[in-house]
Amino acid sequence: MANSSTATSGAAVLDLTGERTPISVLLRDLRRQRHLLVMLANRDFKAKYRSTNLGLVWAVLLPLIQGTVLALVFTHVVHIQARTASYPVFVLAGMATWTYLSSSVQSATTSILDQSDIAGRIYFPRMFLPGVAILAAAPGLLASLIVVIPISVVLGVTPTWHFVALPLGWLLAVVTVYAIGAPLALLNVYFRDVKYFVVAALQALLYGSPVIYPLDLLGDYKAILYANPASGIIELVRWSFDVNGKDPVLAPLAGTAVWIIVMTGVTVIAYARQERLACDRL
Amino acid sequence: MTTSVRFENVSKRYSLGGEPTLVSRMNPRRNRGLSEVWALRDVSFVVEQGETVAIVGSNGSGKTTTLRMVAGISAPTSGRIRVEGSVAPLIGIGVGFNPELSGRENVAVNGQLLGLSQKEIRRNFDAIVEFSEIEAYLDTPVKFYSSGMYLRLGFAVAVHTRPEILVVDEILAVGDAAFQAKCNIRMRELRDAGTTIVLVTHNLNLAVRMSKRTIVLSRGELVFDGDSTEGVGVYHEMLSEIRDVSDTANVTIDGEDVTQSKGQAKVSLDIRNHAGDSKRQVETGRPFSIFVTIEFTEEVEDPCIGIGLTPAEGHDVVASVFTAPGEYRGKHGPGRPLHAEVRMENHLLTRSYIAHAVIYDSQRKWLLGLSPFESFYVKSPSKYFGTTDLHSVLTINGTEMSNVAVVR
Repeated sequence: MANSSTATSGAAVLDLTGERTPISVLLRDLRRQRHLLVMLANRDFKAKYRSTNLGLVWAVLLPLIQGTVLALVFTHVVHIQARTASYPVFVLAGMATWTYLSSSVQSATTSILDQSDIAGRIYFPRMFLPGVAILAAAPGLLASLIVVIPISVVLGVTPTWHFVALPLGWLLAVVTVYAIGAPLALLNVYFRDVKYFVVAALQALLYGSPVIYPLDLLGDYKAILYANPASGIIELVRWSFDVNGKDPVLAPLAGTAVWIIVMTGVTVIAYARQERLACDRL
Repeated sequence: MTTSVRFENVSKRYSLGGEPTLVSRMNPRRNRGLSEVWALRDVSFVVEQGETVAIVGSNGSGKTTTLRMVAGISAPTSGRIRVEGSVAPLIGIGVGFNPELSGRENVAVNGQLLGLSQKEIRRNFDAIVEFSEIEAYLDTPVKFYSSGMYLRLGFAVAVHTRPEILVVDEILAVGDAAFQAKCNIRMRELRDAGTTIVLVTHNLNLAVRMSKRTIVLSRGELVFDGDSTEGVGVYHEMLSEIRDVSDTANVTIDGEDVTQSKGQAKVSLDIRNHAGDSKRQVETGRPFSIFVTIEFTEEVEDPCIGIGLTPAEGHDVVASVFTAPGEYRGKHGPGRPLHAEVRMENHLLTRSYIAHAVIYDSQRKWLLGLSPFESFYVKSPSKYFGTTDLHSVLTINGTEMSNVAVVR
């Protein structure tokens, strides 16, 4: 019996000289203990909706209601020129994606503090903690994107082969939120003001992202929005519903990719330097 | 023999003064207000594979910091830490328990966090449930559990882990006596199976019973590393210099917390062993004395005094002595102290005790502020097990047996 547990954890060796975790050791521990990421995400997913009557339906219902309201407001009150097959589907797809991006960046930001009970008593790479929060909400995004499919059919948008990109859009959302949320989580341990800043920034960013209006609306200035990592994700999701109209997809996607690469690097370096020191502040 | 844990000149600095804010970080003048404290200074020790080591020290000695570093949670400010082997840190019970999930689901979560594989959890599940004694509530969300049930379930998982290195923080002190006994037996099983155990505890009794070796920390420095019985003696010597405010006994008389009153008398206690040494360590079977000196700030006539013993971890008085009202006649005041000596036959076994004194005037008015106390340690030969030597004689079919405690 003793041997079998040794086998699962491998020859676990902790070797620390000073405060920093060597990056190679961090990467090794990430790989070795990845099952904990999945297990904890699964735990939080189950616990999230456990005591509610509607369960996962809430994850679908909230963006649906918001999207419907926005679609009504902007088609009948503001008259946005979406120039797409169906503006309601356009807004619903955007809103479902945005709701996940926004709520997950927020829950990732507070993830280390929220899980201080675990983080203060057991070691595993702290990089998992924002991942747990993001993954636990990921099925909710998938469910709400899937619900948009029959709605789009009812609203007269015929499904095309573009649908194959929908899972990619979902995956991209998860990865992007992680790359941005993970450094914020660490920062929030040191400066607890960060989470309020994030809430304010996200509220402003809703209007700085092509959620309710098409990128194309900005004309020559649309390149500004390529710098917004949310643009690429939203446009990819729209493209899979074939409601992106004249909006470009590849250019904003490139912007998102740059964000992912840079912020993942920042995450690894920041956690290698700070993951254990941060735990002294929990 | 391989080394499980190695600390090389480990120091750890914490900065105090609360959380730095964005503003204080950017403002160097406000930054100066943040002070720092060295929780550990240049600590070095080695724990070999299969060894059990107890780390003792009063609050703020650095023992929890040491434990957190062995568990990999915290990192040293300078120095090197090497831990070889899988570690199960038992720092608190039920790590990762989610109140919304059932006991069954939480066993899986907690077990994996403590290093068990899903297969091992399935294999040990029945044993865990049996140990926890909460079978009927397995599918109930943990939020409906009583605190006792919660601890039982958490502990049941913890003791079924099979780590190479077990790191334990005080948690053996939970649950009722029967449950604690079960936990102690399980710890011994793990120890005897070759698990390396690092035990951080206030409970010196446990330290001596569980491990041959004890490390004593004081204000972040390693002051002793060696034989447990000797280490416990060192720890008690040290206690006379470092007072733990949290250990102060609260005394309530007629529903009033008298420890809050100002007091007209000051008591100092001194424990001396049979040889008259004031070493705060006494031996079973050898008488010892408690010397009480009471100094008064006001005139007091015919005071009554009492002296009692309680175990260091508990509230029951195991022995006490009082003067009858009016029995002692004398006038005391500033510069005219009262000296008392209590001689006690020692039937107590290995354990830490606290001696404390009380004093009233002839109207039964409490004369002390904080209840003064002094701790000491009883050392007994290893053949004993329990808390008291009742000079028990065991005969089987008329033949007297020698008394040898097997559980050690």
